[in-house]
Amino acid sequence: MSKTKVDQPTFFGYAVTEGQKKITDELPPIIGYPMKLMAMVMRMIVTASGFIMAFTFGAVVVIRYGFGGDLFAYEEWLLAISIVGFFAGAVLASSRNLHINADILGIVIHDPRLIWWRGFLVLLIELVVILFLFYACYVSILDDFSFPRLRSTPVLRIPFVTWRIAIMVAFGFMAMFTAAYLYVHIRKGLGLPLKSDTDKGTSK
Amino acid sequence: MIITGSLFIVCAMLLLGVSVYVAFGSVLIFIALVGDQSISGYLPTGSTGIRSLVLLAIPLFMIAGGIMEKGKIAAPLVALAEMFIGHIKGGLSAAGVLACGVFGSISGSANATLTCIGGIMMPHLKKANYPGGQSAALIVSASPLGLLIPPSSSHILYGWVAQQHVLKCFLSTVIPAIILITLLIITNQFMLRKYNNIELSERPKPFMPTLGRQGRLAGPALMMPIIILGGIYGGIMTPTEAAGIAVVYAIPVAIYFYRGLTWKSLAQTIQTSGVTIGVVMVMIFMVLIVSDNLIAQGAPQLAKDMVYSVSENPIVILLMINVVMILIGMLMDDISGLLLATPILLPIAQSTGMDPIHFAAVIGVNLGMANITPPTAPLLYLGAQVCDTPVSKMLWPTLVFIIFAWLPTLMLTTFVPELALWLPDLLLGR
Repeated sequence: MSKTKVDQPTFFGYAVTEGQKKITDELPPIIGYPMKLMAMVMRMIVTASGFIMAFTFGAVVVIRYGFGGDLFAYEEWLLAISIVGFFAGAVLASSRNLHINADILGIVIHDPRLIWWRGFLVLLIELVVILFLFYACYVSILDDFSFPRLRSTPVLRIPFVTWRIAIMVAFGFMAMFTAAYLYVHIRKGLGLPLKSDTDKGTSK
Repeated sequence: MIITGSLFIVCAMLLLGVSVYVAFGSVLIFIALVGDQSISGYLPTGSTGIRSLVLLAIPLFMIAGGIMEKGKIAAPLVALAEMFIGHIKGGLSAAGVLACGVFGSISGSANATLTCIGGIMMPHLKKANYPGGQSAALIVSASPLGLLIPPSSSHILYGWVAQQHVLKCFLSTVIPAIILITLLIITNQFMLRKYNNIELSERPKPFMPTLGRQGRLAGPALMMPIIILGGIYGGIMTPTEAAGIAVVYAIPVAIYFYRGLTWKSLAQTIQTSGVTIGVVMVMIFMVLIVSDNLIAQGAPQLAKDMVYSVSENPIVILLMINVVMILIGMLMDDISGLLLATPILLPIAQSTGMDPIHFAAVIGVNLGMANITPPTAPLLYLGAQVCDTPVSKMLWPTLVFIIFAWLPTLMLTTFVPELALWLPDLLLGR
């Protein structure tokens, strides 16, 4: 990824500095490494689904006008892939803290202590809400499995639960990344050193 | 109780700085605690909602916009506009506004328009001694043209939510966009009158051969809106297919013609667009669930009763709708604002005799304006970053552009329905 300001992880109340580490680098390796792998898989899914979406529609038009045919039931598998891609993108946005918010208090508050508490509250609320969404998805999927036959698409018989499970898993991953930001935020608030601080010291 | 509580929670969460989709998620917790609906319905509602072929046009246009942004497709467009009016005082900034309009018609995104045109125009404008804050504010104010000139993501969404003809929705904001472009240029000219040290570029000589050369360079970029809009309005493609074709066309043009991208950076560009798509789609997912629950609780009727308790005069009602939409737009992005406002406000607007296509234009202009209205104004902050100009220097000129260009456009669009309806009726019939 390019190291533009937008691509870098941001921390509540702290300016983004040049060469700042990814959030997964700030975590203990036993948690950070699997999360890094997870983000890599998400990146691959996002890229692949983007290409598939574009080229499928290109192919639909070419097949229709070039060969007078039709791409059979393409919308069924394409929509499933797209939804998985959308939520993989949402996970990546969580890993880089890029979800949209209205930063009105950020303009008003200047006291570092208040900034920290506000950041803590925001991350805590986000974590609780995402965990609730994960639970709501879990309850819904249990409900899906309680039917004798899984509901599926009309032609290719792709079960609805496939993308619904993907959405649930995505919320789970989003919760993990939000928890990681909360962990880093708390460490900063307590004045505990971060990996990036230790590295800076070593390089100095 | 549930409706009032939900609105209070959304506002409180957004003011606190919680992500928009989480703010809506917190409403779902509230509804689950207070209401009698099961939480098992949330996932099917959201996933069925986003499982739509029409909606797929939005991510595809975002990918196309991302490719054009990184593929250096905007530079020849700016150069072409500059050739015609760069030698007049204020011409360079007017070229920026026109370039925003043309690029907006290609990308359909205000963010991509601002990033591209702002990044190219600002160094030129600063070099020619144009006032930095005012020029940045002008580009920021012109960037939502991407939402007004077809194809526009927000109109695809509106057509889908309100069950309206998407192509008619596209056309509804064309005339308001032309009015806005004119007013922005006039206001800017008026504000520039006190600056006498602006350096004017020379008109290229010989003009026609240079125009031919520049035209050939800009040709593939200019072909894009022709392919997209020609395909859609010619009945050859649906908007979603046109969006797919836009991506397929943009890839070789960006890689082999403009040489702004390589296959490796293309993958990175798609990935970056994918993150933005993820942000938008998860918001759509959440807003769909919340809006479904609020409708089930009777929110549209409650909103209608509230509005009619203040006044039954259609002019007052339309003004109130505008104020509510501006407030919504100031608190959240255009997509979630549109998803929340449409099911609640459209019935009220229709009760005053407003056509749903006319409402598409009103909501488009409103949300475009809200995107640049402080204090939240996401485009203003992005503009400060792209144009390398402090927000403090941009605030006042932005307010001037809002008052003298955006507000008159909004009022005209709201109270002169023909501006929104004439073109759709002419081209697509009633």
